[in-house]
Amino acid sequence: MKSKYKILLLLVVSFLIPNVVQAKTVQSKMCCGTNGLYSIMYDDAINTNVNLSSINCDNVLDGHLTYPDGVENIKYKFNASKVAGQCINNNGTPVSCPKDTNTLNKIKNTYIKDNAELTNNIQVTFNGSGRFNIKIKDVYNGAYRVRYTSGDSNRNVNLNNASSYGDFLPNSGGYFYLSNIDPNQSVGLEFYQANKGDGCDGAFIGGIAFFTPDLTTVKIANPALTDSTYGCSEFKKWVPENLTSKNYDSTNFNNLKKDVVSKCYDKEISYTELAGLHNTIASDINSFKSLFRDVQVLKAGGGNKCTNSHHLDTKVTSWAGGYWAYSCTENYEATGDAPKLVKAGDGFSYESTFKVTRQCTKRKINVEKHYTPQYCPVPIYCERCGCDCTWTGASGTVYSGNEAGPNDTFDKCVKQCDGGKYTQSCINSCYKSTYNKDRKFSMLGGISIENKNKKVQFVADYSAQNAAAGGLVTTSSGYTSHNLPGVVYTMKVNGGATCSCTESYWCQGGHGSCTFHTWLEVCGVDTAYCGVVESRTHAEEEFVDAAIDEAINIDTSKFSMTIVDNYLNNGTYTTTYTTATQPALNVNVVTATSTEAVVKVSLPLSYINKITGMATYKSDASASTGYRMNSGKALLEAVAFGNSQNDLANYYFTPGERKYYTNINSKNLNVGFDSNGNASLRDDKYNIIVSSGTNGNGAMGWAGFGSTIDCYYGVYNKFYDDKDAPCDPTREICDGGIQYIFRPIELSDVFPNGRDPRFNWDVGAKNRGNEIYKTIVDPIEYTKTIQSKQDNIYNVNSGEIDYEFILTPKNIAAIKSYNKSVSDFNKDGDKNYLDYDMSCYKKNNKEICTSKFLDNTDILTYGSGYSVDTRKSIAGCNNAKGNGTACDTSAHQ
Amino acid sequence: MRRKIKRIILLLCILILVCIVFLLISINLKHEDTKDNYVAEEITLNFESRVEKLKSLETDYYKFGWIQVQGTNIDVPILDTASAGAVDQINYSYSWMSPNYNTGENRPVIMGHNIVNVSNTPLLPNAELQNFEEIMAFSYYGFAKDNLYIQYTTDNKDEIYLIYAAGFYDYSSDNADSLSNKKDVDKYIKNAKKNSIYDYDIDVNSDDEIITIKTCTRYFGSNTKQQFMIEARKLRKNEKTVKYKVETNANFKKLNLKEENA
Repeated sequence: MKSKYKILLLLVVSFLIPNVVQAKTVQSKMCCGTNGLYSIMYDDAINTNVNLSSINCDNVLDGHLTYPDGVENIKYKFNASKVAGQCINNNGTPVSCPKDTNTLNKIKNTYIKDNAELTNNIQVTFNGSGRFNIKIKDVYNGAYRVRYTSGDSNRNVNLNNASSYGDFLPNSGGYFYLSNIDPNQSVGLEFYQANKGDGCDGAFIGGIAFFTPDLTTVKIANPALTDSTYGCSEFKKWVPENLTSKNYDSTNFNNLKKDVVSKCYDKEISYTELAGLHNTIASDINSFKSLFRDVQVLKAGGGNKCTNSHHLDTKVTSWAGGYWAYSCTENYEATGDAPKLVKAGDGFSYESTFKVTRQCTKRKINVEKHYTPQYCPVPIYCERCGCDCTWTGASGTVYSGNEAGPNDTFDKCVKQCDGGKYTQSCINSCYKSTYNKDRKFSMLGGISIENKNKKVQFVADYSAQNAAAGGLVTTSSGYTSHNLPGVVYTMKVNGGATCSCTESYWCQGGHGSCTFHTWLEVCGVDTAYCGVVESRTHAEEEFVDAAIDEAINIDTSKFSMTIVDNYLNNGTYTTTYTTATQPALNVNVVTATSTEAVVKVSLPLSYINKITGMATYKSDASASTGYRMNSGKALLEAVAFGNSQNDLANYYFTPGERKYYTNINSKNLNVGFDSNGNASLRDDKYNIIVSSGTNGNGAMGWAGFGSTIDCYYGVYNKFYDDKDAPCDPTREICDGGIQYIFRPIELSDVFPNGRDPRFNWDVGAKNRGNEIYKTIVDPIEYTKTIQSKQDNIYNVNSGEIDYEFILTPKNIAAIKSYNKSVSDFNKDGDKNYLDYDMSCYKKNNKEICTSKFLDNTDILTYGSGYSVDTRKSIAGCNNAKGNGTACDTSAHQ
Repeated sequence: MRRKIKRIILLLCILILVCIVFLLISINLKHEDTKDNYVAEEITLNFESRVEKLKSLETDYYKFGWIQVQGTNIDVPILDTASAGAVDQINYSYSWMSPNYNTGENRPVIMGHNIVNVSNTPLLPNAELQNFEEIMAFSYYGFAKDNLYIQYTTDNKDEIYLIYAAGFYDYSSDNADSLSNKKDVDKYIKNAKKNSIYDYDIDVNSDDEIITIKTCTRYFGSNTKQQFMIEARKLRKNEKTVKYKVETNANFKKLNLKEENA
């Protein structure tokens, strides 16, 4: 502490004769003249034209020196004090004490360094009670006596001998001591020659001076570190409610504590801080805690990660015919966007892409022709007719179906082959064509095909195919009948005879249903048309069918996006939010040998106005739909544009982009702050959910893909003040609704002291293709421009002036007269000088209002180059250039 | 002379009468001999255990068990009902459990495909047949009377079942449900025996664990798609595997079924 202390010592003054002054303003010199030795002092701030070399020491008279010739006495003034009665001029030998004129310099250098610091020979120590003790080392071992002078009151201005004083500093242990010296006090030390018997005993040699330190520079041990009444110990342990080590950076947090409440951490404090230390620490702690007042403490969760990528592959086989088949592999990719962090009032977009790619490989699974002529599936058909009776008697009704048996194609084939008799030969051939596999059957059991065929008897006109099978079958006049449940009897007629059914006969008295039908039946094989030609046709047809099947089965799907905002679920705000669905777009199909289905989804347009919680949904981006403020100017309404200009006049906003706009009053959501107050995303529950193939949305592809992308957005707002909470007067906003902050600013520093601009003065208001902000200048660039030009903006030559008026006496009189005529517009009983008289018109779909008062050239005189028309031409600009001749868009993004 | 002729005629009539009586008695005695001499000989079944094979079977589907049928090449796993339909029925042999089966209930219905053996003259078991196609061999009496047993492997055990009925059912028959109580089991057994084309000389009642083997056929043509079902009950405790009597009945005749393959 001592070394620091010395550095703070301020001023050193040296003198040989009385009237000690500061060295920089008072000069002194021993002047040896014919009348003796004189001490000459003068103020060089006044005596600007004279220096000591110009003084004639012989002209000392009555305590003064005469002025050199040609110099007015007002310019300088000398004080002369006789030191000794004799002085040997020009010989360098003094005739009076001190004998050595360099003695004082030696003493000075002993105690004061050239840079005006005290040497170690003078030690100034704080006594702990607001004063200082001083210890001066007796370097010269008693050669000099030291006298203390405080200020000018008791200085030896007359160069008296030591015998004139009795207040010399005590010398003890080789030191002279001073005690209880006030801070900022001038300390003078006069040196007198000790008694040596050389004729100069007690002679005054000179003095030095310095100031005791200011108490602000005095450091003492910080009592707050050990005294619990200061509250530091408790503060060091404090964390915001519900904040855990998982959701804050302890290092940053503690550093922030040290920065804001430094008095709880500093080892030393200034002595002057001691008195108010309790209050200082209490205030700082309160300030620190206020930093976390609005921070929404979030639960630790997904680590700032969104589940925004899915990749699935699956092999699907979808079709197989008799000759062709294809197998396909589908690839599903779902990709979402990154988390979003916006300042309250700013908008964000979130885009997801769902894509299914299908790769199909078509292969020929059978060659054109395999069949031998007798099994040729292209036989010669003969048309037959007959009746089928389905017995509905005691054993129930016969139905068709397919469980563990052949499929319908197989049955149809057999029907065509042998009329549904299921001969083994037709079974075999149909099996091959239906299931595309050739199975060979040894005739180990049952009857052979040949024997079976032999049993099939056809009579010339009528035949009851199964007449011989038993049962109560009778034949009468060409009719046959049966009553066997579960058995169908078929009467066939060939040879060109007609056939008919009489149900009462055929189905045994109506215990069944009788169906008359005709069919094609194999009655021969035309080998000329069997085999290659016919089969190739089938193969070709199948090739086309396969391609069609691929195409028509590609699915479109629906997707939904949900923005979940906790804010909407609180307070008095309604809880409605947007859940929008939109069909998949851009389905692209490639047929033939490969198929690719790409589904890209651009999320639907939705606008969320959190002022009321209302959400408006916009299904497309056409210019035929716009948004306007409702009558209460509390929410945005989606309104279809009309065709007339009158309709357009009502709109305040033109269509926006695909963004979700947060409320300017939104409180902090999914956000945390670091030690510098910078906002960063904090993960809470997901509030952006995009899904495909789930929650009722159509699954994608043949494989039925679907997944959900979960992500989130955060909003931060340092201006937020809870509408439902008591107003905090230290905050700038204390009520709900749309708020504006008006304040005078210094153009050189628009946002001083790190003030956080709201979104409209920040990047959030930069044009991102949004009509709402489209013509607004880049606020950041604009701020820089303002700060660079500062007050020069008001210079008439700056090019920044939009319009200029010249106030002539006539204009002043006209304005006074106008003001007298203004009525009490808002009827509040006060003369308010406001008539709210503006003219509004539409320009580029924007409503522009300008003052009618400024249009009145009978009252106002425009400066050179300015007029009503030029003023109006820049109306609607957010900034103008060229002295108001055009809109300035140079700072646009 | 006339009197002599009358006596001769009378003697002849008596002789004829005696002969007829003797003949009738003789026939009756022969029949009784047949009944009395029928011996329930114990037989050895050649079923192989499928416990380990079932465990080691690699498939994506749930494995209910394994089924083997005497006299056939049927030796296939029983897969999960819901997913089995997606299995390639052409290239793989398997069977599946009825979707109406509730775990723990009696009478699981085990189904299998029959594609090529659907005619009214079914093929006897041979190497080309697969799945449940060989089930249709039971429509021949000559086959049915010699093949009476089924091995149903489930729950890590090989269990023997005795066939007690076989019959045709139309597609509309609601016959795929498992049975939850003895009353329903008793009712089902009676209906199965009533509809059976054979009379099996084997006792079965509601205390028995029963199963159904089921496949499809076009035995009566395309317009009368039918199901063919084999009913069996579990071998009782201490019961031996014997050859028991099987006879055709009126149903068999009414449907004009065949005793033997040609």
